[in-house]
Amino acid sequence: MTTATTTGTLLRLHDLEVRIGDTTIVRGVSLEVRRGEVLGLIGPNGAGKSTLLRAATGLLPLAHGTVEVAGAPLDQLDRRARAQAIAVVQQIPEAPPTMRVAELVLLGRNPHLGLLARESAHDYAVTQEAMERAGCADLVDRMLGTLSGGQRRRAFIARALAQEASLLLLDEPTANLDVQAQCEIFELVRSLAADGAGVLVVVHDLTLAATYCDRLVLLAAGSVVAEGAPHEVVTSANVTRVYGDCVTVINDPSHAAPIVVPARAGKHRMEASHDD
Amino acid sequence: MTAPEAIALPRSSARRRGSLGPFALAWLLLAVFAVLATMLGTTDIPASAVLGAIWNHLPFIGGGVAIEPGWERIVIDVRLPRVVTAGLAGAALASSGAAYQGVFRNPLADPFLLGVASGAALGAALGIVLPIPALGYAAVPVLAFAGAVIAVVLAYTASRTAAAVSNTSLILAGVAIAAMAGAATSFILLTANERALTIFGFLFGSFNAASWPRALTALPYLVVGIAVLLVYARVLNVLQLDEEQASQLGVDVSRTRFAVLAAASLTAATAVAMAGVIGFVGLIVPHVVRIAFGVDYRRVLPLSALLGAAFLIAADMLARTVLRPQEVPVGIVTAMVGGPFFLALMRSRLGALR
Repeated sequence: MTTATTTGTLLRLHDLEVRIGDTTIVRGVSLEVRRGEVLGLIGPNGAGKSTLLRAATGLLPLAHGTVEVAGAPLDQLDRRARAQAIAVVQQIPEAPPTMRVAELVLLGRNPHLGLLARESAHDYAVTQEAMERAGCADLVDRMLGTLSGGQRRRAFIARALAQEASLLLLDEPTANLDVQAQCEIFELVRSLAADGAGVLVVVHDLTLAATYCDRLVLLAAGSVVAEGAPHEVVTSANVTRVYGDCVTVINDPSHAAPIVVPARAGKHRMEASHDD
Repeated sequence: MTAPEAIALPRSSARRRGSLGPFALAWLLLAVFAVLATMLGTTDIPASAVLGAIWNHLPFIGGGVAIEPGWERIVIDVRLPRVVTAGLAGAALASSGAAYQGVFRNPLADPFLLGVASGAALGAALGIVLPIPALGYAAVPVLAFAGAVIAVVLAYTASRTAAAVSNTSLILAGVAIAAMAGAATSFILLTANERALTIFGFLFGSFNAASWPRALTALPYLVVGIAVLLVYARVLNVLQLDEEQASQLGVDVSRTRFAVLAAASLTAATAVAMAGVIGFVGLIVPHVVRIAFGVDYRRVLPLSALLGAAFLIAADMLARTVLRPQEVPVGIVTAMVGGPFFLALMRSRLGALR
């Protein structure tokens, strides 16, 4: 990003606090997602990543702080305007197994359609384009129940693209995928950002996050622990602080990003000769 | 009614449509069964006479076909109102069943899930045992309708909290209301003596009391109810994802659920008031439609209405003719004929998936 102007900022969370019942899940979180970038949200289970994502789409009430989408406060946008600005792919999105891919992707046009409206030729064209972009155009007529994990993810990403929102929120888009499918999904995410989308993605796999994201936000117990470029965030100090000492961070010159591997206590130092 | 075919319903759907669209097929089935059901009865009347009698009674253009006057009276005054009533009830039950299944995302949901049937049964039982001169012969349908509506309103308000109405609490509240109304109906049955048979008749459904005035009284409720369901058909597609996704796609989930449940309950309550508790139609017809024509609610809802009408007209025709001159309650026919048919369809579908 050469100019970080207001128009370049697609999502701005400021001093966000989210409570569920009496429990504070997210506390004092501020972050920005800019046009063209992939921001990775990392942190252990229960750190508040998914809650933060849900709060950012207005699904959860804010105890404190503000959410701005493309410069407009979220609470000033109605449901459809929100869905035109933010597209979400949930971690385990439900859908009837007999629904066809094309039918699912077409639902992404809902934010652009009034109650009585019917899809126009334009809506079908956008749907077709979204499927081609997400690499699932060959699956149009397949039922969701017959797809592999990676294909299913592509179908849901295509639905998000059909919304024509410039901001994409992806909750663990690579969970339960084999390593090839993981790479393919993240290559797709990168190319969407290259086309001008802003992407906020929750990732569990730290190596994957460090490899594909422009910036990372490390969340622990609802607060931001570290933020910045992958090599600044995924450090031995940060990772050990948040995940404990069962992991080792390897900075291998042959790999552009830090590598995080599990290490059994007392044994990890023997092999981790590359660690800084 | 057909959706644009561009990409949403590609190859296999196009093949499935064949030369005859699903809507043409559904209308054709409905017309065939309607004519057949009007022909058959204690006296069989030829199709030409049935069609002639209907032509004679068409406003403005009709008239001039010579038919045996006795036949014309049977067709117009006896059989046709019954066929029309059965068709309306079938359309109402099947479309509201499809809507309930859509809102609850539960294939086991039927129009009676929130207490429509048990509320109506209690209302009807009261109408049968209590002398209410002001209502006269209308006591049963009017009280049945009121009972159905009260049951659903109670279930809905009981499950509503400040935040929202959850599907689970709605279903649980519906079960509780149904149990209470059912217990009250059983109590009335035990004390009703010779009138218990009339109540049993209502519990299994019958089109015995069908008449033009009754059908026309019910018509506006059905038109409004089914029209609202059709308006929400596209949004029901979005609701097939979970509520969070639907909301993130711009759907006001609470408002949609309220509107669809209100319209579906009104529709089902009207059907029950017209003809008693006829099970199975609202459960299986939408599933048959989904298996044959896919899950798009813009097809499922109108096709369920058409095929529900055809199915119930056929079921009533059997109910009147298999043991004639005796009549079998139509609810027994829908289950005895519809059950095996549905199981066979389900088996062939399972086989195709394997």
